[in-house]
Amino acid sequence: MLMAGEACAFRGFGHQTIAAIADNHLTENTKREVYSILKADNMVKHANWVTSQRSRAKRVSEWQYATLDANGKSTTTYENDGVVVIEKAAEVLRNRKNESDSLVFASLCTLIEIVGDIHCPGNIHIEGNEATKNFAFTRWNGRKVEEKNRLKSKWREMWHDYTKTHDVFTPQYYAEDLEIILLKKKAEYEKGTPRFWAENVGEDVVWCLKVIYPEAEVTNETVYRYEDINNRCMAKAGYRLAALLNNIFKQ
Amino acid sequence: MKRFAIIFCAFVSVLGVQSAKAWHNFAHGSIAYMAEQHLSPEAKSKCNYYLRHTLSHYASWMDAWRLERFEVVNKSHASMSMPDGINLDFKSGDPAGGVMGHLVNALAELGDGKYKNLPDSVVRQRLINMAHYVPDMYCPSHVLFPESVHPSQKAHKLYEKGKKLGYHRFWDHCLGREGRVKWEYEELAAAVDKVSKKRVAEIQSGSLEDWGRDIIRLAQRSIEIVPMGTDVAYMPEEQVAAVRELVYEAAVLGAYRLAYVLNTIFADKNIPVYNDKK
Repeated sequence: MLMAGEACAFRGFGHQTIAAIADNHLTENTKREVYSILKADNMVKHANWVTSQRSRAKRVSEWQYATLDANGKSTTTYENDGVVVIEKAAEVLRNRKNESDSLVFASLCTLIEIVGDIHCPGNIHIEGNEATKNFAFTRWNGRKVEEKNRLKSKWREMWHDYTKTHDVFTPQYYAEDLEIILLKKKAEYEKGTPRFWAENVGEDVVWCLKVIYPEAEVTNETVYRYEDINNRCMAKAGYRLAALLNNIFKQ
Repeated sequence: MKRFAIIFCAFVSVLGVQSAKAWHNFAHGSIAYMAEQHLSPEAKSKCNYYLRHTLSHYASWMDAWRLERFEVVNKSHASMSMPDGINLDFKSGDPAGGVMGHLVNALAELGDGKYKNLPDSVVRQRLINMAHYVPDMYCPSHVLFPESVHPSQKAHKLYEKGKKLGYHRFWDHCLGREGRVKWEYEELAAAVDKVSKKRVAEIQSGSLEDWGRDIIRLAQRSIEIVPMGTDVAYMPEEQVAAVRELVYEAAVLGAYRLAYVLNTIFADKNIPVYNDKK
């Protein structure tokens, strides 16, 4: 399961951290309902459930991506698009009294993971912009220009690295680290719908691609600076997941 | 005990792939985590304000940055030089007395409430640096003894399964090794941070001169515990235990003193440099 998790842009650990942030902001009523469905005392344990199901259904691998049109708008109705998957899962949870326990469980786990997925810049595809699907670029240490110090890197893998350097944190401690500066933005971030959220991340993607683009040569320092965007996206995902669940379970 | 022995064996088997720098990144993160647990509410709040992250997040920043901009961060941030081997004069020697000189300078800049007069970015950078080099000072291999005291320090070679292994490299990675077997910061901190209140009071007192002497004692013990020529892959259990005891003590000193430095700065106080009126 852990190995499969590495295929996600935020990696399994990143999803666990997003779940830990969301755990911090669930209402008492939502906690009771969510933890009862999960039969757990937090969402972290189930943050990689969708990834663990990929071997059972190939289409599940597509759920992590959200596609925007050429204008950066989420208008798709494709059933395996991340945004559409979130909308369907939320609908199941709203109708949970008429659905089977297993479907309710699967839908909740889907929300926990896919809300995180559509917040990873590496998972946003913009129609007409092939670079958003993945590309190679070169990074080097900014000090020595020898060939051995120039490393080939990839757009999607770049987003892995930020969570990788925090692997020795627990998800809860990493969540604390991210919230130090971003908690004050919670009210601003949690607004909107899943479609708006994907479009919001799409804006970050367009901005990032001005500096890191196919065949670009950038210093590690540039790549490190993008960590702020990664952190912001993770915090947004956590706050938005909590807001969505609080809305679904408010009654 | 058993766990450490297993971990330690695992460590020596992969030591060859480690790079030579200060405490391993994992050790730095764990020590910073430990320090964070002992910050006063005021210091915690101020650190959050300036750093915008936890101390652990920045614990290895200086090592990472050294690879980017070597001219800004140099070796003097990691080692303590002893020009004559007896007197600790932090204002002389390899620039401004090595790492202790940096701490003296930082406290002069930030202590007694002076941090309030500095731009946020300057305070932030000083905190990032201290989160790294205060624990680094306690790494047993970071004292550069003059030849009159330890003529063989540079030649103090160890072995690992018959292959040469640097004394510096061995000690740098002793504590960090736990991270390679999926420990998290909090687990290592829990294993190491078992200090009595009395000991904490001892650690968090005295002058920087006293702290410097603690560092020298650690360094001297490291040479006695693992003498030149030791094959670290085949150390008896008692020797492994002595190594563990030393690196845990170093971690505790680094963590509690980092916390004390930050608590002192944000209580608008300062730490004396010398015991007497030099």
